[in-house]
Amino acid sequence: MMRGSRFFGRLAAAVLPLLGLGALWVESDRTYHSGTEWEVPIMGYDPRDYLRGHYVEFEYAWPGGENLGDIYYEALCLEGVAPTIAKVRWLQTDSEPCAHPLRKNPGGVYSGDGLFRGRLYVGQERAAQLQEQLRNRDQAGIVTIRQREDGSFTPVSIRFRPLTNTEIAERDAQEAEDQRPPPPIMSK
Amino acid sequence: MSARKIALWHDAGLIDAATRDRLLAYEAEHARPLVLWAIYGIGALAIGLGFVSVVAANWEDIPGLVRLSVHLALIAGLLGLLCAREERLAVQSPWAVEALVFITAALGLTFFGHLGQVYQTASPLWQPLAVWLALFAPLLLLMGRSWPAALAVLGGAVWTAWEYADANSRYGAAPDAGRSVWLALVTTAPLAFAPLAAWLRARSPRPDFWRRLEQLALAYAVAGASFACALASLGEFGQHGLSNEMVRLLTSGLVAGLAGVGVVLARPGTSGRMAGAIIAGAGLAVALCQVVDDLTVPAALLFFAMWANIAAAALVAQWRGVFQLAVGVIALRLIILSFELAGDLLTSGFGLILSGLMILGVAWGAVRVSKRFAPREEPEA
Repeated sequence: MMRGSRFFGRLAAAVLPLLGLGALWVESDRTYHSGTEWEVPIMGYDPRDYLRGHYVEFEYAWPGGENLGDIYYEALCLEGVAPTIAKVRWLQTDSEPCAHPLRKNPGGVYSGDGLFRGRLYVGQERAAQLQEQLRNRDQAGIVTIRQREDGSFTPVSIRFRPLTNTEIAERDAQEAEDQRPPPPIMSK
Repeated sequence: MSARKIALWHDAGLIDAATRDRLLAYEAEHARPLVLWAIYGIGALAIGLGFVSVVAANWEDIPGLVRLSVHLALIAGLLGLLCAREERLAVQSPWAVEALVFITAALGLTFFGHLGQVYQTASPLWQPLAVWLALFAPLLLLMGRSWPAALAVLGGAVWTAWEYADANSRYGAAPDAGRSVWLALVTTAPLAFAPLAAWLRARSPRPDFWRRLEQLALAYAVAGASFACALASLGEFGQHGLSNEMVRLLTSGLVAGLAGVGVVLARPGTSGRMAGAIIAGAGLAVALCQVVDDLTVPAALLFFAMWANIAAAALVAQWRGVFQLAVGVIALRLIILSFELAGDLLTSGFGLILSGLMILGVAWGAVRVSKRFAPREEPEA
């Protein structure tokens, strides 16, 4: 009898991790594969995590994000036809209608900042490559995210496209503007 | 090693052939292959860490589904082997079982990292650690036989607790009183293993595992209290509003005190009483840290008192190594104190000479004390 209960204890201790890991796998797989894909321009860099290895960390450069203002809300609304975001706006209340919401995940690794920063885990060789590419100012990084109906979202891939000549000209003009000496009235 | 010595004694005519053979037979029967055990343990540890790095390297050339399937199949295979053969294997080589259990748990931990890579789940580290602990602690506690498994349980609990505390107190703001109590309870929760292990030491067929677990919990209490004393020396507790730091320190001290009492009750005898006294003493030191915050001499005295308590307990319980460690730690802290006090003198050569003399004096005194008063070598508790 004693031997029997010992055996069942061992069996339970062995089955528990297996069931737990399996359930987690199924759950992660299901979440990952659901949702609509959107493409978001980004800026970024690359560090690493103890358990999961290398990742690329980036900031979302939401189209129309410059008009969001200084007050932060819990959710953004994506406007446009997937995968192209035309612009984003704040969802100021839960009842506001929105076809494609993105919500902050307070339990996530960026908690309050989750709508503006994100990370994508990649292999160590790819991480080094991406780091190199992110430094190249003549290309734009784009992250594809999967956005689900409940407002949760997951970055799934990253790619780069060269900036067009117009975009380069715009950037250079902006930089020239920023570097122009202040008018005489300011320097006095 | 001893066989060579015995042969030498025989050759020198000190013992006859019959005595030599009896000595050799005795040694062979009572040999404790310490080196072999250490190698098994370190080997298992290295394999575990190796898995973490290999998985973290994230081989993107292999599809995620294949990688995860191989990983889970490996874990399932090891679990199956342990479940079916654990008792038989343990009779032949307890260390082989220990290594297998440890490696299985390490593979389980890396599975979380693996899932994170494939499915981009960027949760804070304490979440996967906590789930891992919940899933694998039963296995480790049921099948662990020595320090690697004990280290996995206690180290996992401590790591989870501090990752959680860190993630929940990051923004420099002072937490409210309720939160302070909660964080103190979380970070001292691993101490609960001390009374549990103390109770099971006499009741389990694997006393070595429970002894190691109790020792590790004790070490956590002492290390935590020493760290708190160091923070008090640096004046860190005055920074976020007095009252809530006080609440956190008092709660931590109280839990450690209860754990100490628990050990005393769970394991009657000198050894259990002394282990309990060390843990409770560490708790008392933590509770008093706020009072001596940023006061050079009182903070040092608190540290000395805690380690003197450890030295005294070691003397009563006849733990030679612990006693010598305590004397060494006190000596080291004394030297640091001399630098703290002689900060401005130190700029002159005279101050340096004085400090040097004091260091030599303290070192000499410490060696004398630990040689003269240290108890004889006994099997450690």
